[in-house]
Amino acid sequence: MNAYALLAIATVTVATVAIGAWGIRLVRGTSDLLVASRMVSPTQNAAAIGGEYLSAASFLGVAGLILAYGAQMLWYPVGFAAGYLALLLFVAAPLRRSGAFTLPDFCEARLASPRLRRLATAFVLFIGWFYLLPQLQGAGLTFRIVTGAPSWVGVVLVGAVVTGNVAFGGMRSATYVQAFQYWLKLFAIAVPAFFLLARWNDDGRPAIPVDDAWLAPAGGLVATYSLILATFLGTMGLPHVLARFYTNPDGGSARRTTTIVLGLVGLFYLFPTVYGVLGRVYTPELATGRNDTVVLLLPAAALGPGLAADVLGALVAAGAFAAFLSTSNGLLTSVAGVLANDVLGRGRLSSWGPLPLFRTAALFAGAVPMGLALAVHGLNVSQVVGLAFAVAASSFCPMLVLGIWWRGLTAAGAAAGILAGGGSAVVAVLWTIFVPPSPGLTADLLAQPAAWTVPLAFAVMVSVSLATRRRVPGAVGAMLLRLHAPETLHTPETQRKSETSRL
Amino acid sequence: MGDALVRELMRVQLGLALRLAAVVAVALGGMPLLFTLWPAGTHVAVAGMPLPWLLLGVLSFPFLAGAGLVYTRLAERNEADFAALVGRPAERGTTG
Repeated sequence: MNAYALLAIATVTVATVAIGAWGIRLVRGTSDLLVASRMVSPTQNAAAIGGEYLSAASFLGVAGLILAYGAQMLWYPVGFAAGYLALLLFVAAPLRRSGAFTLPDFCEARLASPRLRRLATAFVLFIGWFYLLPQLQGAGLTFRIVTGAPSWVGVVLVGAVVTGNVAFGGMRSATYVQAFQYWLKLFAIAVPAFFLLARWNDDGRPAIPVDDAWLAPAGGLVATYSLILATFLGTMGLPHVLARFYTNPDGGSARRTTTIVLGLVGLFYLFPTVYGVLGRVYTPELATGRNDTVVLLLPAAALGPGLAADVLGALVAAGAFAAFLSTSNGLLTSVAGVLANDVLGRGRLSSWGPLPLFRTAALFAGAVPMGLALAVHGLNVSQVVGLAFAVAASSFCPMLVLGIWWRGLTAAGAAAGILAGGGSAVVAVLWTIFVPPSPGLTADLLAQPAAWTVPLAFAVMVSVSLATRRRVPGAVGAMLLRLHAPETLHTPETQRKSETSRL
Repeated sequence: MGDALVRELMRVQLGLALRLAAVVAVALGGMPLLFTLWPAGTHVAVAGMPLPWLLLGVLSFPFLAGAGLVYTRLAERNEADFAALVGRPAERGTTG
């Protein structure tokens, strides 16, 4: 057990709660809770987006996959970053101008269909919980390595801290927490990486054991292109990403924020590769074992026992915990928001008022993935996150892109496309996890379904919309004007509409 | 604001986004195909690193950020052109 690491984890957790508490004192009402009053500057917002986005998959999973499988796994970090470019090019500014705070909000604002809204709600909950699961499992894994305590302790610890923070702090505290955690994660992955490289240099640069398959940037072409499609197009459909955009004051600043995010996220992703590559030299046994522990174990393995290894080990453990806390925080805020608004708020609890409703929703939204994480074991962190991306890319990406750029989209078309593409991706994902098929093209297409589910979603969405073209919303022209014209040109009428969100 | 003007703004913005997306898709998306067809390329060392590792693991990130910067500049210029075309914000009561 590394006492420094335990201290570091405790510090990160306490700091998260403390910054959250600082946020509580500033909270004045629900709009503060959910959108931080939209007074967040692009740079602070970009750091918050980066802090929220860099999850257990980025901090632990990527390095492990590179250690085990080599250059073909570089597509994970490249795709995670490129997802923000796709978001910037096709949806960032119009989405902000839509005034939508959640994906179901956008569905209803653009297509005026309560049934489509319910379908979108179901997908938000699935993607959100599916993405929370590996965060909590990563927390359990890290806690076990650092303290020797059973995994469930870490799961319960991170689950409880995040749930409490979301329920009682809300989005404004999350903004401070997330921005702080981006810088912490960058520091925690970069500083040990430099020490590791220095050590490797001092050791006389021992050769890195490689083979052709490890060096090549593509395993199977189908699987590789499928992964590229899922990560490039999945980011825009993640529930916690959209909510963060709403904290920009207008479409132009949403664009500038996204550009800064691309820089911040890209900077971070330079470092996991260092761990993956040097892991070949100092921890080769992990390549065939629990590869997502390489970031945590490499400092001690490379530097040998001593103070330096303990301190650097503590630093990466702190960074990993920051990753679990911040991503879970963002996801839980979004899932709880949708749950409060679209599920609980529609039932008998609607008389409770928005704040108690949101808090109840947060408690429930946190309990579900905690239960799942305690029940399910042995999934690779990055791969589970990759599957969540595939579902998002096959459901919300086509709905957003067509909804923003094509007049002809109808509610029936959007629903059919989400069901066909997203539904197939969900089935493929669950199939891969519960009934792993024998290796081959079929297994590739199930494990990385985006290559066929994304085109399927687009095709069904377009063809069903064309078949129901008489049901194109009548106000589509005014809506597209609001999405694409800069705010300074909005008439008082459209301006007022975009200020009014359905909270 | 006329419907035709909004259609024109959307056409220009979508054209810009698609062109930049095509550049990135060819530059990054071409790599698996390139190195599958040219396996010897994975052993070419540049700056002490195998070529695909340098391209993907290092250079792709500044490339993506650069593409984002270029897009933001050009998209803002398109919006400014559109604003100039439909009149100043102060006159929006009559043009809107």
